[in-house]
Amino acid sequence: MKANLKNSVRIILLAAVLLTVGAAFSGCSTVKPYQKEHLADHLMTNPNEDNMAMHEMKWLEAREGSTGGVGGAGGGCACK
Amino acid sequence: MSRRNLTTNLLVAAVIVAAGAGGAVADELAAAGSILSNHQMEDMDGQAVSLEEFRGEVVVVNFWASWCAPCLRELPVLDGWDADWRPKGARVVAVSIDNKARNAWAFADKAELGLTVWVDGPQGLAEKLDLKAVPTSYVIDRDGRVVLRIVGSSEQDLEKMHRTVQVLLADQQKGPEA
Amino acid sequence: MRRDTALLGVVMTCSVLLAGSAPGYAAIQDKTATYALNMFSDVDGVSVYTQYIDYSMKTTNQVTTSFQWVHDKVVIPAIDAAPGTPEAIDGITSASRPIIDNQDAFEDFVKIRNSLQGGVNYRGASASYYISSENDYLAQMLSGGYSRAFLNENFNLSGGASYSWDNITPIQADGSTVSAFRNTMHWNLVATQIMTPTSVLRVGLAYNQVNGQQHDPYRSVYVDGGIEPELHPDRRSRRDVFLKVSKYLGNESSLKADFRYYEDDWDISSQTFGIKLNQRISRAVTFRYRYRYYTQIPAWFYRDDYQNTTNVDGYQTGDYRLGGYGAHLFGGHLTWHPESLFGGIDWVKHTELNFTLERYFNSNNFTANIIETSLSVSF
Repeated sequence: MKANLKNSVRIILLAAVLLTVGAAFSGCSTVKPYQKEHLADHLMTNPNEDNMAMHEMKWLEAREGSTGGVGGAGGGCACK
Repeated sequence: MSRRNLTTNLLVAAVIVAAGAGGAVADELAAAGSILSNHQMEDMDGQAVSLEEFRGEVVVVNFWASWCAPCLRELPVLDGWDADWRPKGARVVAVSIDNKARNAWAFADKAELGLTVWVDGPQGLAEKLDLKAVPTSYVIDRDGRVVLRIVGSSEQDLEKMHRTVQVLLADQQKGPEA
Repeated sequence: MRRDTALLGVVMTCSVLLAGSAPGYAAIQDKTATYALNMFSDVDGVSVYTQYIDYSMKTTNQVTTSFQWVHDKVVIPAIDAAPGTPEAIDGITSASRPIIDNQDAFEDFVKIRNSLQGGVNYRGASASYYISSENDYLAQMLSGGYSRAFLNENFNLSGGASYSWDNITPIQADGSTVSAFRNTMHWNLVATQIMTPTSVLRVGLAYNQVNGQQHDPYRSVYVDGGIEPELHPDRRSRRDVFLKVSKYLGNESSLKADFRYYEDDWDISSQTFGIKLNQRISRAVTFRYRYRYYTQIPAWFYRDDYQNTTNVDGYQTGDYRLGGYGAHLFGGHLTWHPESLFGGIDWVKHTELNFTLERYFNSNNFTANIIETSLSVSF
């Protein structure tokens, strides 16, 4: 039963990932560069917070049996 | 068709496409010029202002935001250019697209900017011109025509902008040819 | 061999730094330097002091170089235990304790680890080299990645891969060392989508294949009345998927929620739920509250005790991290931008002070306090 539950969770998550990526590629919402003020706010995008999360993952990995959950880019302002 | 004819035809096609593309950009800049000259913004005192006030001067209109790090690095450079150009008949107008005008004024005060700073918000010219990124700068000649659009703030972009204004100022000094 | 490799790492790191600082670039440059001190202390009296320095420099040619140095110091208090017993406590950062004789068991044990990483990023493509050294462990890693934005920069796809190779040289009772190896192949793929002007969604996948020694060479386990050295399988396939949502709320605040599902072929699976609430208190101060819940299912060969050793195929572990448990982490974080402190210095563009106070505890009656403070300066 535990194996079935695990498989179900796995399938649901995979479906959620695929749906999300599919929706992303369909461009369901196009946000203009001049509308990204809040996304550029440090409350949303803070490079120091990302760095601290990477360091935190190291000590969490030393205390727990799993890994991952960090990484990625984008989601900020349209600055060039 | 011989190879020589094919090559010639391809070259002609490429020129036509390039000319078409160039034509499309020229139309865009012309439309931008019309939008820019007819739009009202606000100055630091809350007074309505527009670029028509500077008809007869070469104007660099720079769209920026207090939340845009490249913009904040570029503005002091533009401020220096503005101080050099004013006696020669050119200026920089920095238009902020901040949601809250006070954020724009706060940065302008802190950076002690001497150039003209106006605010327009994200739903004014930014939307009408459909800005692709910030900073974006338009170089406008003394007749109100947009001659150059720069998206970004790279070294090459700034050099191109500066060079274009210098050329426009030089033409102005030469005057109309006999 | 180890010294040569370490020297190579330093040379590469310096080369990366020098490449980024070569003359001829425009005056518009971004440099950020961050120093942080993290103090971790747990209910067993183990203390870990971590200092790190991050430095990155961006040029207008779209090249960013970065450098990171991390220094860990682990202090394990003296323990009243016979050598070779499972009571030899592991500290954080895998700082294991080689109890050689009775005298060692009654002294505080201190272990130092240093690591260096240098990287370069050019228009979304990145490469880095990492090296970490302790007196009985040398780890190195090469990694690369690529990130690209699409759809007017509303969608970002980034991927990366790395290969690491570890040289493990546990210290024996007579002071000599033996050699063991471990290598890890990793790849990840992350998609970030701007959903609305105030929300962002991120989804990611990662896979690790670990081969080689994966047990603690100093740890022993009580098995059926006797003491046996710890032994784990020498292959482990690990994968995880995560989802993160960031939402800008009104009133100068934001909410970030994340979920991660992990599983491996040791039958460990875990779920992590996290939430962070950020609130700007003033122009210069932001406060963040966070809570994280973690739950894990044990490895197939994990036992609380090994009186019955059927169905473990000779594997035994004293590592509670492979067991089943739940954990909570909560705390507060303060960010301060003290512009007034450095406002008079022309070359200082931006400063940020951070202070974190958090509490961690799990269902194994393990608790820990985490304090971290950092200073970041952009110039």
